[in-house]
Amino acid sequence: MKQAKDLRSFLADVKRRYPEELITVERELDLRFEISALLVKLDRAHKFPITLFTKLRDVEGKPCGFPLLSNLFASRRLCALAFDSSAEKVGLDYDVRTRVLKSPVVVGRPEAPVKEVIRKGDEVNLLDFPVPLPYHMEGGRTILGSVITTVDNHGGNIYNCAYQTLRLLGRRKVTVGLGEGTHNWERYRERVESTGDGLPAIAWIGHHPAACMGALTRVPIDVDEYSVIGGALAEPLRLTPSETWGEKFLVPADAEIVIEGIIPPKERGRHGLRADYARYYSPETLRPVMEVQAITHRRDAIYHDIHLGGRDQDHLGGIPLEGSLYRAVKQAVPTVKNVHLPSSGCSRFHAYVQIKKTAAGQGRESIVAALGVDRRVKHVVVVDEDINIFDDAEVLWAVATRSRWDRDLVVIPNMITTTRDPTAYAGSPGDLSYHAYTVAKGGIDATMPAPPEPFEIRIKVPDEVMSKIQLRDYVGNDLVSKIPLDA
Amino acid sequence: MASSMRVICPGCDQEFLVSPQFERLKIAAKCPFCEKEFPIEQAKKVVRPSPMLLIK
Repeated sequence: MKQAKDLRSFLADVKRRYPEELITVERELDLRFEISALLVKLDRAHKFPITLFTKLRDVEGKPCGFPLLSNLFASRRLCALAFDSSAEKVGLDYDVRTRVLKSPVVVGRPEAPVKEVIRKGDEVNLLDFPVPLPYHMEGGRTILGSVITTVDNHGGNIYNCAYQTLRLLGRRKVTVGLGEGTHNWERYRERVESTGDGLPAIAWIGHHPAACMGALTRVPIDVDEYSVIGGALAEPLRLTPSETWGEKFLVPADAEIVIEGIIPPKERGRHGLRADYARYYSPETLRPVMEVQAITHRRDAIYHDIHLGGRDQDHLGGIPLEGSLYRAVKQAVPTVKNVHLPSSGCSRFHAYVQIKKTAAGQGRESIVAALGVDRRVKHVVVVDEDINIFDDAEVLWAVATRSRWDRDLVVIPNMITTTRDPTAYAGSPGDLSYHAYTVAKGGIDATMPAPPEPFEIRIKVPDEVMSKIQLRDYVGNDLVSKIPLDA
Repeated sequence: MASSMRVICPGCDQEFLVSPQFERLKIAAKCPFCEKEFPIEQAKKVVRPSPMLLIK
């Protein structure tokens, strides 16, 4: 029988195809800042391997019983491997896959690896997990790799999934980063208003990256997101009954860890000061708490963490958004070739759109279409198809040589943005509601004039000569690899 | 975010961010460095975002 896709099958795939992109750190590191220091140094060296830390100490200074895995999404090439795609097209292929729903299958507990260890009630201790303290002003430890899932049992089981953080408050208590306006928040609000009861919720940690990214698909609230994740995986997601609610609440059978809990009505806790994707700190907020009822995990569970403020977090949020952007622009400009949300904009704020220009006005049409897709998209640069949109320098070269800011700039003031944008205009001091923040957005049309209008011709070495002359033949691969990367 | 306040902890003199929501709801600030909880008016220093940010 074919093995279901999970984190381990993916790591095996990486080890087989790209062994140099999976590293194990066996030397002991402190959870307090040291993991981040190592990952930040790798980022600065432009190296993005999946990194497994095997020797860690827990918050009490004792050897930790779980290894920690980070940078699962940091390499675009490995994200592409998860979707059987290419680095250039993975965002588009993600979009194609997640538009095909695949209903999940239910397996019994004996067939579910996540049930190998079951802890309930007072046996539960979240502090056993290697939850790092990543940056200097963090006020506490936050579980970042948690996909919070809720279910609507009315008229069939409709599950909602989203990456939302859990701030540790104690052995069995966390605050949940439910943002107002998200689907899980709506489930919570509906439940509390209609019954006065708390909301059952789970957090699953560690799965195949296609399943993890599938949890970020933007679909209506009445679409079952376990089925969307099946689409992302290109096979049904395997589920198994939860310990707390049985078949009324199914959990991913192949996850590394599942945390089951109840989010009681009204109670709020400190969701402490923390780092965010924009590479700044967010202040402490008040968020619902979750009382943990049970934890199940694999016997040798891998704790999956997200490297905040690095390419890991960029790709996790950005690649799923690229497909939505491409689709929106394609409606306005059918000749769009590709889109990219670069790390230079935290894979949210900047969008590069590549088009085959056939008529005047398509650059501006692309800008307006792209800005409406997500409130975090702030700046759009539209370029021709000869520009590599995965190279910031090429995009800026197009801006330098193909745009005129008096005619090619589009600025739209007062559009809704995210609280994570430090330049956002607050609606009123202290107003933290979902739509309280606005900012000016815009774009630059850095395309050449549409044909038949003439334009300068770009320099190039003839293609056949570029194919013939290989560095390895004239300089040698060893010497090439030893030449340091320039700034 | 754009409207965070910077405060200096009366316990350890470290500077950190506080949401203005906490001030409005009269919730104590909690220092991420020494974990001291204190009403915002007891902070050694409070720097509120300038209205100028709105017209930057």
